[in-house]
Amino acid sequence: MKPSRYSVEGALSTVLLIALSLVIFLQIAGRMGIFAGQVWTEELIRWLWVWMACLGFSEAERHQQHLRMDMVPSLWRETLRRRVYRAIDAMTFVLSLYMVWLGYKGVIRTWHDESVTLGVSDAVLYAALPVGAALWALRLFLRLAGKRQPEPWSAS
Amino acid sequence: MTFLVFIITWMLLIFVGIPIAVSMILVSVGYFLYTGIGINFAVQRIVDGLNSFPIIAVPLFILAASIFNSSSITRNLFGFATHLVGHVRGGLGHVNILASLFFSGMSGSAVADAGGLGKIEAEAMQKAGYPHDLAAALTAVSSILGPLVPPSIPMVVYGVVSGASIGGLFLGGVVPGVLCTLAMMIMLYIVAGRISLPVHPRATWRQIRKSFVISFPALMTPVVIIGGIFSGFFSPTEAAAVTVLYAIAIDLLVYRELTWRKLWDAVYETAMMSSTIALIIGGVSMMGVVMAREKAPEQIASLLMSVASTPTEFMFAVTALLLILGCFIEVLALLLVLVPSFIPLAISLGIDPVYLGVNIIFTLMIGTLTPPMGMILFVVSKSHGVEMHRLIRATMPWLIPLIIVQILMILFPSLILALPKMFMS
Repeated sequence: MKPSRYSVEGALSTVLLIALSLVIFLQIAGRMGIFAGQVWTEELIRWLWVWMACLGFSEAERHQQHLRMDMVPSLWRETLRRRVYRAIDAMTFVLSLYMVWLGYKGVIRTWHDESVTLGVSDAVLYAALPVGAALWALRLFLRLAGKRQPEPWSAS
Repeated sequence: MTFLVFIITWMLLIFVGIPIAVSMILVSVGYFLYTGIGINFAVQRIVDGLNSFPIIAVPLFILAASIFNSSSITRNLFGFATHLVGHVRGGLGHVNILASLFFSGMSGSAVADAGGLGKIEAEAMQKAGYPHDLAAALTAVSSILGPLVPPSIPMVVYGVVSGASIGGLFLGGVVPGVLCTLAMMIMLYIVAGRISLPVHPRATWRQIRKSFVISFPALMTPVVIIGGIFSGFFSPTEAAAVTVLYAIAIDLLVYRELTWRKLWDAVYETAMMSSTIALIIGGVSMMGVVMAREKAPEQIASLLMSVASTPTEFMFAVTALLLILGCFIEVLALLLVLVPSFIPLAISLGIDPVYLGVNIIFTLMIGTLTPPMGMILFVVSKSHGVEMHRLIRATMPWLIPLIIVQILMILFPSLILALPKMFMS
């Protein structure tokens, strides 16, 4: 079966980008006096952006969008290049799992800190990293396990 | 010594093809594990580095460019430029440069220019029988106008790290952008005198007027951005969101090509691209901790002060350093890791942060055209189907007009500062 162009985490990340844009319009409208401005908009926008970014790590990995310089590897034989890239995937997989663990500890550490305007725990913000890293690890694992990957993204 | 090993390891990781963001995190984690200091805190810096309101202008400007690219706006701009200068000696080469200037008012990224407009330019120039290498080189060189003319993603990032006015930076890039365009067109005019390049027949006034009218709403984008920021209506991030709305509005009302599917794909692509940038910012935030622990800013400052004691000498020293490093390190990484260490020094020498910023961004853009790590070279090599070594050879002569403009910018600060001062006063 052909791998899908879209993924759940990619769609979630997209929805968050739309949401943060809408909150920015709300912020502008509030300041222009169209209706009462809210103090929490800026913090909410930042938090949406952090979650959007972290959820997108894995989708960018799936579409091989993470920026890399392939000038030197492009000079190698195909088999060597494939092996090196596989080793890089394996190393990144281990790194992302480590980030899940460190990110989890960050969530625990910030559990009792409250955000400035949103009135919820800062842990909600810091949870974006372990969640994003876990999804990233999952995508890398699937690739290492031989699951077919979609083509690098290009505008349709 | 530890820091030197750190930097060399990082470069090696990049060279073997490890994604830039991953290489930064990997080498930083290695440093923290080796030295046994605060890794928990350092990883938290990934989120802290992202948790900034001004930086959110970056995904929004990418989204605006993506929406512009998904409609016929880009093609219309190319048509307008063809009618204006297609008949001049150098023909489509001038069109390529001028269209990039127009597009730079909508996009803040050189990669968006090279990858979006670049494809249209490649198609047209190949069809007209232009030498393949020259067409690709012109696309690569002219794409650096993207981040010079507002909006500009590197300027947003520089504004965040330096505290300089992002609106001031946007205005400061206008004159250098136009100068750069002129310099490239003059060089092309000279080159076209030696080799025969096809030209278009001169367009009639009616054709020019028609293509101007259809391109006019898109050409007004920088006016909306700058006007919004300087009238006090929006912050730069809000201006970026308004640009997205403006792109959607003109696409729906004027060009009528935007579908829900195209819009969704543009947002989807932007979310993904922004995540890759976010991971770089996160990686840089971790590296920043290493840099601070190793006192790298002090070392760089003493290196610069040993060769420069006046503002002009300082600017030339910074430019030379960034030109060399730009061959090996990506723009965002340099902007976020290295540039903050220049700012206190520059201020102590009485250098305006806007003047410094526009010069730095210009230099870093030249770096995207230089091997072995020139990002634009990679994009254009793929989009034009030209082998890398041929593209490098064809691009090198075009660095001459850019370097001349850079020298002028350093020697005459008013080229950068006149517009911001006029608007800010």
